Amino acid sequence: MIRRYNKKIKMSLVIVTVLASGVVLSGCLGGEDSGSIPSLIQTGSSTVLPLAIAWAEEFDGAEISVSGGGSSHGINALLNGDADLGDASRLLKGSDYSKVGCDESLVNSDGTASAACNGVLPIKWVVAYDMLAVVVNPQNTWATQLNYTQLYKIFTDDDPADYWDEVPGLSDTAPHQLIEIYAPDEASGTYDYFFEEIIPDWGKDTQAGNTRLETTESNPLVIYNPSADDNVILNAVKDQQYAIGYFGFAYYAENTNDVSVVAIADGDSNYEEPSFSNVANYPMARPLHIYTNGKPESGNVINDYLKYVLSDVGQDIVPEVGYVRLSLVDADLITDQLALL
Amino acid sequence: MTHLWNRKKSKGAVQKNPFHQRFNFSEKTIVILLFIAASLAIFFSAAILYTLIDGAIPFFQKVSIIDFLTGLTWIPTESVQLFGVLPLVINTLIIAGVALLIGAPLGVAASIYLSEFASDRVRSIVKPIIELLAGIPSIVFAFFALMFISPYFVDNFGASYFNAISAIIVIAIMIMPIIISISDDAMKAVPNHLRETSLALGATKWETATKIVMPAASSGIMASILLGLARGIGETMVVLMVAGGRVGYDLLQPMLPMSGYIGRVATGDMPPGLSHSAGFAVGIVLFVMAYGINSLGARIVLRIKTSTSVKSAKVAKKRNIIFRILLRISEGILFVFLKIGGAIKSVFNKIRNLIRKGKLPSLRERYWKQRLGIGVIGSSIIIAFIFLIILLWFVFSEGLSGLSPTFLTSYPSRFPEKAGIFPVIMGSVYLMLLTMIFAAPIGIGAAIYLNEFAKDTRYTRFLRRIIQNLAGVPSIVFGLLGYLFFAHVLGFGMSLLSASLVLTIMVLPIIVVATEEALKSVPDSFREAARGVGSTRWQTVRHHVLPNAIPGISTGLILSLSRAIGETAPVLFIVSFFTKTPPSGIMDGFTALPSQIFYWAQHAKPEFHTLAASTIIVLLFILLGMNTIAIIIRQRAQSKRDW
Repeated sequence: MIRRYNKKIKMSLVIVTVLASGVVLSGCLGGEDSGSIPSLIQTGSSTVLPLAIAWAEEFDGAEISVSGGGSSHGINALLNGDADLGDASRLLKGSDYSKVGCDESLVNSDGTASAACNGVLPIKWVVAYDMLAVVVNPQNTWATQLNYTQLYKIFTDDDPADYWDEVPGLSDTAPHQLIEIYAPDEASGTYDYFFEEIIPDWGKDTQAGNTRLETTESNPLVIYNPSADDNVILNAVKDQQYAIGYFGFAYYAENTNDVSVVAIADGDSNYEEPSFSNVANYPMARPLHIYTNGKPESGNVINDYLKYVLSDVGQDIVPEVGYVRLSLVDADLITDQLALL
Repeated sequence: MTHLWNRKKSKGAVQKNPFHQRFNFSEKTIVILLFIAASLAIFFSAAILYTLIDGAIPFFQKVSIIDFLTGLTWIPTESVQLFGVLPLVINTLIIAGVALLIGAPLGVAASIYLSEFASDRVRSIVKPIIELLAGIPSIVFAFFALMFISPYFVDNFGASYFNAISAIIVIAIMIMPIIISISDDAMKAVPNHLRETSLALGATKWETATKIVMPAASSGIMASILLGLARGIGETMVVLMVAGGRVGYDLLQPMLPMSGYIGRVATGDMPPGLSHSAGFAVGIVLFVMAYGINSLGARIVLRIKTSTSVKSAKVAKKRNIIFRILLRISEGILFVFLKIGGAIKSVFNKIRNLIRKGKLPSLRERYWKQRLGIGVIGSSIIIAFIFLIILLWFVFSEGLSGLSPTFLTSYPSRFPEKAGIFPVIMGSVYLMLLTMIFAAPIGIGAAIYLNEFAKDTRYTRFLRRIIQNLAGVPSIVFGLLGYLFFAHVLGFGMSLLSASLVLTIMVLPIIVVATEEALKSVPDSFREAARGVGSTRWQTVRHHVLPNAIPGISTGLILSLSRAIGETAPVLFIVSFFTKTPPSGIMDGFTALPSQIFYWAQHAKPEFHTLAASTIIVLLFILLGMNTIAIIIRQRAQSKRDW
């Protein structure tokens, strides 16, 4: 009996060893095979994530593993050498550099870096545009267009407007009804982006007001109902006549009948309707970035990937995911960036 | 380690004793290897501490510890940075506490029913159901809460889309199996003569169960409740997906417990810098809370297990002072509860006496009370059973339509109609194999060392405690460990390797416990016989103990792997959400079944929710398959056993 069990031990040892070497060897072989299909790791902004996944699905030149985790995580992973491609819905900041022990003054205000950090020189590539839509109930006839000052009064706690007719400029047309806010929560990049636009000096010591979500008042009249789910916001605004909210324009484009979109002006006039063709003028649109380590040389797989992303085929995917293709914003962006590759 | 050196010293005896074996190099090497395997647990625990402290240092350079621990506002945005952790702690306590208020009575009632009233037939049906409930991964509970329970509260009670109550309900059910199994063990450990005496004195079975057995097993029941509480505090996936991202104090509104915040650091768009490193600071608080409660509970369980043997005053004195203080506190709490219970009871008795005018209840009434009592506690099992049925029915009715050959062979495309999970399944399989390759030698080696070679020194007791306590580390803290220690410090990146190492540490205590039990089940006479004919210690283990322990060990390995394959939180920081092909090497990025469920369940398009349910079905079938294999091995081994 013992001998039989000895055999069993040996067998199981053999099986484990074979499996182990199988995995390890396949790893090594995979490495050698990488002449044909190399692997890349891409991580970062959850705003860019669906787009990155779509590109990873269609791009044949590499096997790309895509994960989320936020813009900060994406840039951090790139600077640490953990990722080949870092997705970001914002620009590179000095704080990204200082976090990994580099001099933050090396980062320029346009999101580029003047020198490498730990041997990694982050290079910025604009790959698509993200656009916000401010939406109201279809029965809302008074707020078809809003400027940044009005949005500021509605969405912040700095001398806020609680009723629609308290919003500057709407006192004659709007009813005396409480405003209801349904919008993304703090964890969302959309939230950051929206308030970066409407609150002067957002994120600095001199920041003017706080958002209604962060209000320190214990019993505010207007409650900011946060949700990470665009669907919740859409349904709430659709059902409630005095509601207002915002989310990615792509989501509105799929549901144009349920809510009305608001024209926005970043000054006091020049209201712009959001639409795919009007990105260049619409104030609440932002570029989405992929950061790479240095400028990829031609023949390098990252070079091929970026060429693909900037090609017509790659850009055709952008509206499909809900963002705005580069050519609608600035045709030169594509040619200028392709010229670098 | 001391005894190793001791043995070396005794080498001088070689010449004097002709029967003494010469220094045996391979034997020594093996023992040293086993010793290292066991000692790795110290390294792992140190890695966890290093992760939490190193990750939190940048945070505490900017925020004072006192502000952090006493602050009443948590706003981690880039503009307003208020890091008072108390709201998160309170939210954690609300969620875990209310879940415990629901789960503990249900669990304790079910365990009384099982240990005191259920026939063997009923037990043989109920036990597997409880085990099934315990084996369902938390991501499945989270999916169910988000898709089934939450909409109910939204529609009927005006709850917000993310709400605490849905999370609380599933967590209550999740902690039931822990409470049931440990309370059941505790009540079974109550000596039978107590029951017999009570019955002989004329008490009904119900009176015996509630007034004799339960008080006798009270510390075990307390321990089970503590372990359940620790589980509730550490639960991540449910609160991350269901409870929302905002501190709140209303059960129908979102709440943000500590584990939820850390999970959000892993998945959401957090502003850079402080809000991110705050995750580690919160991790420390969560770790301390869950670890403390868990080790207290585990030590009470240990005390009950060893309490049958007579304790010397010396051993009692050796208990460390902190444990004694904590034990006092928990006993104090229990005492207060008993006092309150007693006070309520005496009021009841007074009222009853007023009504009855001093007449004692008749036997008939007492039997009616028994029937009623059994009905009530038995129904708690029915509640768990109904919950399980609804959960499975919901998952299958949602997901069956998504199952197709394409689904099993395709990759997770952005088009739901052609999406599949082939690379995801393979990612999970590779992850398990790799975890097995690391965890099996370390876990089995450690168990062999502890059970067969180690003497009862301070060091081995320390090792045991450390391995045991690894089981009390919340799963999201393992996530932080993988992210900071394996991916960054050791430079393995967001790879299969990092993830499998994290899971290795996580399943280590399970493997060690299972292996030790398998080794203990081999009778000592085998060892004595082998030693008696001149085998060395390792030869004894290798040729006589291990072969007989193999079925038990492999069962433990399989069960630990089935735990690993369902875990989401430990790999949340390093897993990918899309790969087109399976990973081709251990340094590749990877996807795994639970994280794919997580990603799809949160997708805006409802078609992907169906795919998430289909993925759950696949995951459940894999788990079922693994458990079936484990059961077959166990039963075959038992029937073949010749002692």
